[in-house]
Amino acid sequence: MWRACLCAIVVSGVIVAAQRPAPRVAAANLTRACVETFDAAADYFPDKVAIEDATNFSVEYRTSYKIVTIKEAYAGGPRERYVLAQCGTPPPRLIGDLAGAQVVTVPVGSLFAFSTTHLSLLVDLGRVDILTGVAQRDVVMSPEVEGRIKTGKIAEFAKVGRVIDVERVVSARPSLLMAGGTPSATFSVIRRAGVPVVANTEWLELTALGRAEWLKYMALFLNEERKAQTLYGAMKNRYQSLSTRATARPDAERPLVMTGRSTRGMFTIAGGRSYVAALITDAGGRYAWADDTAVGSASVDLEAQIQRAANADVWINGGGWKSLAVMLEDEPRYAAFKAYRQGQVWVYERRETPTGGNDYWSRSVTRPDLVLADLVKIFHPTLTPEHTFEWYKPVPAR
Amino acid sequence: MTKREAVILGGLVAAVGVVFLLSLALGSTSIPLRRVIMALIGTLPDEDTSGIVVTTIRLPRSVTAMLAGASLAVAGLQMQTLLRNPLADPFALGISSGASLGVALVVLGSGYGAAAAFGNAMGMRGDALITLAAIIGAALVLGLVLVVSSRIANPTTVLILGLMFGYAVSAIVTVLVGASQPERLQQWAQWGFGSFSGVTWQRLRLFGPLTFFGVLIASATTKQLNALLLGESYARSMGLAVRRARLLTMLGASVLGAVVTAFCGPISFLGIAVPHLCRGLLGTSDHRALVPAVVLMGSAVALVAQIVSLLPGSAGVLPLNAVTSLMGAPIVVAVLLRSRRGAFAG
Repeated sequence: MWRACLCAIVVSGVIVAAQRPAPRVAAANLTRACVETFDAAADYFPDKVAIEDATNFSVEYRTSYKIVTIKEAYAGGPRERYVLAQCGTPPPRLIGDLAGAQVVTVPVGSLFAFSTTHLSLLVDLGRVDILTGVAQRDVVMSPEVEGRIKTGKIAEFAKVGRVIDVERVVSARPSLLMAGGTPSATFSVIRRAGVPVVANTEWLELTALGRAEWLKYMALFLNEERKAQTLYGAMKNRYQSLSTRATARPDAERPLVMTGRSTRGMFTIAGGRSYVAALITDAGGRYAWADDTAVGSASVDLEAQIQRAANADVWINGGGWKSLAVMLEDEPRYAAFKAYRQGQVWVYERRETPTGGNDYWSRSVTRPDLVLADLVKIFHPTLTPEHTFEWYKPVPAR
Repeated sequence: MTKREAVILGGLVAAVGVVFLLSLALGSTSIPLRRVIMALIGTLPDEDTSGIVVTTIRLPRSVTAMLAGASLAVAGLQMQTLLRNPLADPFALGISSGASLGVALVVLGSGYGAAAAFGNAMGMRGDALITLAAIIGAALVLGLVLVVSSRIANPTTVLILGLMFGYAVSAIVTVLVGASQPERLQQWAQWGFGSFSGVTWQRLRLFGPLTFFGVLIASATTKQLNALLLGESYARSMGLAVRRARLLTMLGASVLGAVVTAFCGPISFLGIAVPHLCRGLLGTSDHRALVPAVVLMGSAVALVAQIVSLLPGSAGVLPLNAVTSLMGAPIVVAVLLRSRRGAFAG
C-alpha cells in the first residue's frame, strides 16, 4: 500500500511535469542567436523597453514578436507598423490591423543604415558588428565605423546623390535597411525584393531627449533592450538633475539667447518649438524667439533678428566661423549684436573626429545630457565648475 | 521728346522717390516714421537698434534694389532691340546659367574644399566667394557665346545659341544638385530666390559704381538702338558698324545682367517685363524716351517688389524672384492687351 502510494505520487508528479513544464523564461533577450527549439509558452523578450520621451514610435510586446508603430513614416506621412519576429519562432499570424504589416526577423544580423545618426545608435549599443552598409562611406564620422570600413566589410549603397542604389541593396540582401524617414518610391521595390525597410524619424522629435530615445528603437531590432534601457535611463537622469539646477536660477541670471547665422540678409534660426529651443530653456536660458512656432529651423529677416536679439547675451549654433573678424567680413551687420561685441558667440566645433568630421554631429544625438552640460556652462559659468566643454567653444577674436 | 513723354517721365521720377521713401519706412519690423527720419539724418545714438536697422539694412537694400532694377531693365531693353525678339532679356545669352554654374560649383560641388581654399587664398569667404564664382561663371559663358556669335549675322540664331548654352550649363547644375547634401541644397535654393538684402555698404562700393556706370554707358547707346530698330541694312546705311555695335551692346547688357546676378542672385522677369511696360506706357519705341523711362521704371518696380517681399512681417520674407514674377506678370499682360501701340515693335 505504502509503496503503491509512493508510486502514484511519483507517477502523478511525472504527469504534472509533462503537462505543465516549468516556464522557460530566457534569462535575457537573444541578441545574436535564433531560438533552437520553439516553446509556445515562453516569453522570448524578458528585456523590454518603455518609451518615455519619444512621441513618434511605440512598441507592444508579445511572447515571440514585437509590434512597432511609427506614427509618421516621414514628415506628414502615414503610420507604419512593423512586426519584429524572434528568429527561430514560427511566423506570427497577422490579422486585422496587422495584416500586411512588414515582418522583420530579429535579432537583425546585417544592417544597411542610411543616416549617420543611425551609426551613432549602433556605436552606443556597442553593435557596430552588424553594420554591413552605409549610404556614403566618406561622410561616416565615428572611429568605430571607420575601423570597420577599413576591414572592407561595409558596402556603400547610396553613393551618388544619396539616391539608394536598389540593385546594390537587393543583391547584398541585408537583414534590414534602416531608411532616413523620407518618402521614396524605391522602398516598395526593395521590400518586394525581400529586404525589409524601416523608417527612422528621430529628427521629427521635438525634444532632445525624444531624439536620444531612438536608441531604444535601434535596440528593438537587435534585441538589445536591456542595454538601451540602462543607457538611456542614466543619461536622462543626468539631463534632468542638471536641468533642475539650471532652471532654478533666478530670472535675472537667465541669459537671453540667440541662434543661427545670416545668409544674404536672412537669418536661419532654430524655431521656437525646436529641440534647440527646448535645450536653451532646459539649460536656464531665455530664447529670443521662444514665441515662434516653427518646429525645425526658421528663416527670419536680419532686421527682425536685430530688433529681437540685439541685446542677447549669448549667441549659439551659428557655426563655420574661424574668428570674430571673419564673421564681420561675412556679414558686417553682425556687429549690431551685443553677444558678438562681447565675444559671446559659441559654436559646437571644439572637436573633430579622426576623419575630419564634426564630432558633435556624430555623437550629440544620443548625448543631450552633454549638450545641456555645455550650454549650462555657457549660460551659468559658475554653476558647474567641474564640467569641461565637450563640443562648444567660443569663436576666437582672430 | 513729346510733351506726353516728358510728363510720364516726370511722373516716374516722382514715383521712384515715393517708393524709395516707402521702402525705408517699411520693413519686417515696425519703426515709427519719426525715428526713421532721425536715423537717416543721424540724430539717433549709435547703438540704437532702429538706427542700425535703417542705416545698415534698409538703406543699402533700397539703393541696391534701385540699381539692380535699373540695370536689368535697361539691359533687357537693349537685348530685345538687338535680338529683335520680345522675349529676350539680359540673360538671353546664358548669363544667369553661367552664374548659377559658378555658384553651384562653390555651394554644391564636391570641389567645395578646393573652391573654399582658393577663396581663402584670395581673402574671400561666404557671400563674397559666391559673388566671385558667379562673375567667373557668367564671364566664361558670355565669352563663349560672344566668340561664337561674332561669326553669326542672324540675331535669332544668336538667341538660340544663348538658349542652347543655357541648357547645357543648367544640365551640369542639375547633376550637381542631384549629388548634394540637403544643407547645401538649402543654401543653393536660397541663392536662387534672389535678394537685395545681401548687398551691404561694403559690397555696394563695388556693386554701386559697376551698375551705375553700366547704366550710364547703356543709356548712351540710344542712337545705335534706334538705328538698329529700323533694320540692320538701314543702320549700316546710316554709317553704323553694325556687327561691332551689336557685339559691344550685347557685352554691356550681359555684364550688367551678370553683375546683378552675382550680387543679388538670379532675378528673373524684371529685365523682360519693364521694357514692355514702358513701351505700353509711352506708346513709343523711340529709345530716347524709352531708355530713361526703363531706368526709372526698373528702379521703381524693384523697390515695390522689395517692399512686397517683406509682407509676411517678422515671420519671414517671400522669395524676391517669386514676387517680381507674380506681381509683374498680370500687369504686363494687362498692358499688352490694352495697348496695341505697346505691342513689341522690333
